[in-house]
Amino acid sequence: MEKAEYEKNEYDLTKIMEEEKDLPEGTYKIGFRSVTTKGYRIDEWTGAWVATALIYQIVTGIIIFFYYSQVDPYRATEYIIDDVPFGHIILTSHLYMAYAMIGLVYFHMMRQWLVGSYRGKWRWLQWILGVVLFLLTILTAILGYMLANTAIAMAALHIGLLFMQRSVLGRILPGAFINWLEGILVGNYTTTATFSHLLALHVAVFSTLMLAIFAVHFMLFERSGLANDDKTEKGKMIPWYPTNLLYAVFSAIIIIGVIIIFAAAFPQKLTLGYGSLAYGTFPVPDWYITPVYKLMDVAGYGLSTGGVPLIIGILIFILIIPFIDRYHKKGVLERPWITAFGVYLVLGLAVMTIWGYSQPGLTQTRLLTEYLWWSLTLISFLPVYAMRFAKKDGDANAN
Amino acid sequence: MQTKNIIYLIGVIQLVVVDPLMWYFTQVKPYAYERYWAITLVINLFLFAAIIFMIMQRTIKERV
Repeated sequence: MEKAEYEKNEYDLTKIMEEEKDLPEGTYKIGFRSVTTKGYRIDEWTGAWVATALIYQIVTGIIIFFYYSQVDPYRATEYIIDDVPFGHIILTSHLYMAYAMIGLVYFHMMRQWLVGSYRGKWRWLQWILGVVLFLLTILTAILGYMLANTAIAMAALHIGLLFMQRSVLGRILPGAFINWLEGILVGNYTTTATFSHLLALHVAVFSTLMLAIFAVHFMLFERSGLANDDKTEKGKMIPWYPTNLLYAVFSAIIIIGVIIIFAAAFPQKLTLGYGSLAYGTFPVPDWYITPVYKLMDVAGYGLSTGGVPLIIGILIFILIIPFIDRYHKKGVLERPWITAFGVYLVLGLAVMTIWGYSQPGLTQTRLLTEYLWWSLTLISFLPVYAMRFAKKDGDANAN
Repeated sequence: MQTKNIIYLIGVIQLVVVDPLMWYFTQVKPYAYERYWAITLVINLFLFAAIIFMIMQRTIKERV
């Protein structure tokens, strides 16, 4: 007897990625894109590396979550490191992958900035969601770093609270709103409440938001395709399955392998606990916070020119760059001031990170600050315009 | 040598050399050599990566 359509099962799983034909009208079709060999250029895969880091963080995070306790967070961390089987490797690789993730996010952003891939039908939205993901990555990292209840972590929490109260946020937004935010962050200030809140924010709220926004970000990428002009050519397309998937798995294994080697070779040492006698030690935050930390030293806490409005301004600028960049061409030297400003931001970030790490908490004079920023401006803008001039000159001579 | 044979060779190395080492570090001497276990795990992962890389090269060659 002939089986009805709904009774037939497909057991050949390799056919799962085949294109679905005869879709009903009005179906919204999103598939994984095929690419030409151009798509295997290594800089097209920076996003895949960040996604690898995100997935690794989720997996190791779930494992750590089973052993963590918000009642005595410092002891729980010590317990994970000393007593849980493979605990110190899992915890250290969770930390190192977070570092790698932040570095890769910066790299991913820088690449898209220079290539100018934030312009296009839906690419502007992809860029904006990407900036939101960047912020969520940093915030989740900071929350995770607070969870160990070390002296430095609590210093970071207190600075965060001070920021909310004293900076432009606390002075402009109504006090009740800031109190409400504080309530979300630390609850009633007891250790258990504080760490319950931080844990919930770290493992549930921010991570879930990140995963959800990442899904949309990735879906938009699959819609728009690669940033370089990857024209579809009949007969030359390499299917997503299995080749693209293999490429992604290959790069994922390399990244995870490197991180695990580092975690095994240089296990994390837990710094002094909060409330222990930490006289004479000066709090130095993790490297991804030092630029902000140093910017506060350099720019001060002023309402209009201080560090906080400066950071908010830079972030808004980065967020709306798709609408600011009005150049007609796509090349790096065809969009000179955008490129130069990108270089300026990267240099500024690097200088502030190193400076913040070597001289934490040392207030700078106005003169030194001005000297730093103007020299950075010169270093970033001059070469770009000089190269542009040289290129134009060369092209003119060639003709 | 054919790709197929290299993949088989890597598989044999994994089964004969790397996997027994991992078994030793976790089952024979548990807890004592966690760092070495992690490194053998990475070696194993990299061997898998080599296999994946070769399969990928072949699928690209077949299509283009």
